[in-house]
Amino acid sequence: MKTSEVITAIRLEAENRAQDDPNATWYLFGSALTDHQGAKDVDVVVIVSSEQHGRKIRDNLSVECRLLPVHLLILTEDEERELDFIKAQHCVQLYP
Amino acid sequence: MVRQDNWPGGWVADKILEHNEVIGAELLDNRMVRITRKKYPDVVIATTAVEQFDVETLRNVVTDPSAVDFVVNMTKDHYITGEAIKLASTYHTPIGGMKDLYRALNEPDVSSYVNPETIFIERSLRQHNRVTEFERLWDRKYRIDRLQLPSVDVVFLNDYELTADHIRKAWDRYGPFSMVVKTNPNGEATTIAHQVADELGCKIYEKWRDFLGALNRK
Repeated sequence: MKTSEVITAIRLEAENRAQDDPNATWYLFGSALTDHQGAKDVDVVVIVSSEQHGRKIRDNLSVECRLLPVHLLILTEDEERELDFIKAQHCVQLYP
Repeated sequence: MVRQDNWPGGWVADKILEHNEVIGAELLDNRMVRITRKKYPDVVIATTAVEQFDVETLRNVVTDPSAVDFVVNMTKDHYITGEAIKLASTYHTPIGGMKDLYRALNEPDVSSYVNPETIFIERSLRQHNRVTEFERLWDRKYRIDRLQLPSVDVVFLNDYELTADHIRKAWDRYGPFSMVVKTNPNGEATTIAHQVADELGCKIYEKWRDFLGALNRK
């Protein structure tokens, strides 16, 4: 499996989880953006409407997604604002 | 869709070639990789991808402990039961993620590798005057017995940003605990993470010295 295949699988997962939080936004960050071949895993952050929505997404993640070499960070909108995460980490939107 | 059955071996064999000390990687079968190093002897790595790594997982991936030097679990967000850690210790076969494998390959004897965070935590506990004994219940959860004070269950999390999701996930995985210690000196715990900890009846310690001090109090 290549890094690009992992990213494709994550995008598919994001589509499938849209029902859990229609406002959720998925981003890539970290080495997978800059070093496709060398990246040992793929960093993903999901910004969710509320903590409850985040739990729903976490609980409903598919088995395939759970086992991938992916670091999945879930932040509420409030947490993202507090950390200014998207700007600080130069995140790139993956979905929608 | 994702091939779950055979990708970890291929992934490791491919990515490990980026390591400065590695000159070759041979896929022995779907899950076993022989790695040839510049300075040190070849090693055989067993690979898997599971969320919860338990004794059954270890027995499945390591059928002959003398033939395997290291087990790498490609699932980034995995956790390990205390029983699996104990059995791996008797096998003399460490379990870790890709970062651990990278570090271990710099050592002459890969099978003696211990994660530096674990070394730091356990050395600090051994040197603490109030701590009489401790047991590693899970990879990140310890039961700490204290002199003239009740035992405490403590979870150590290494995340850069400690979020509400991290606290709830740890609670779901490891069961109740009264202290959460952020072992990553960078980043911070969010306000909501502290609120969730309050709700669950535990406290987050963002500074190591504050945790060591708290061990002296009821």
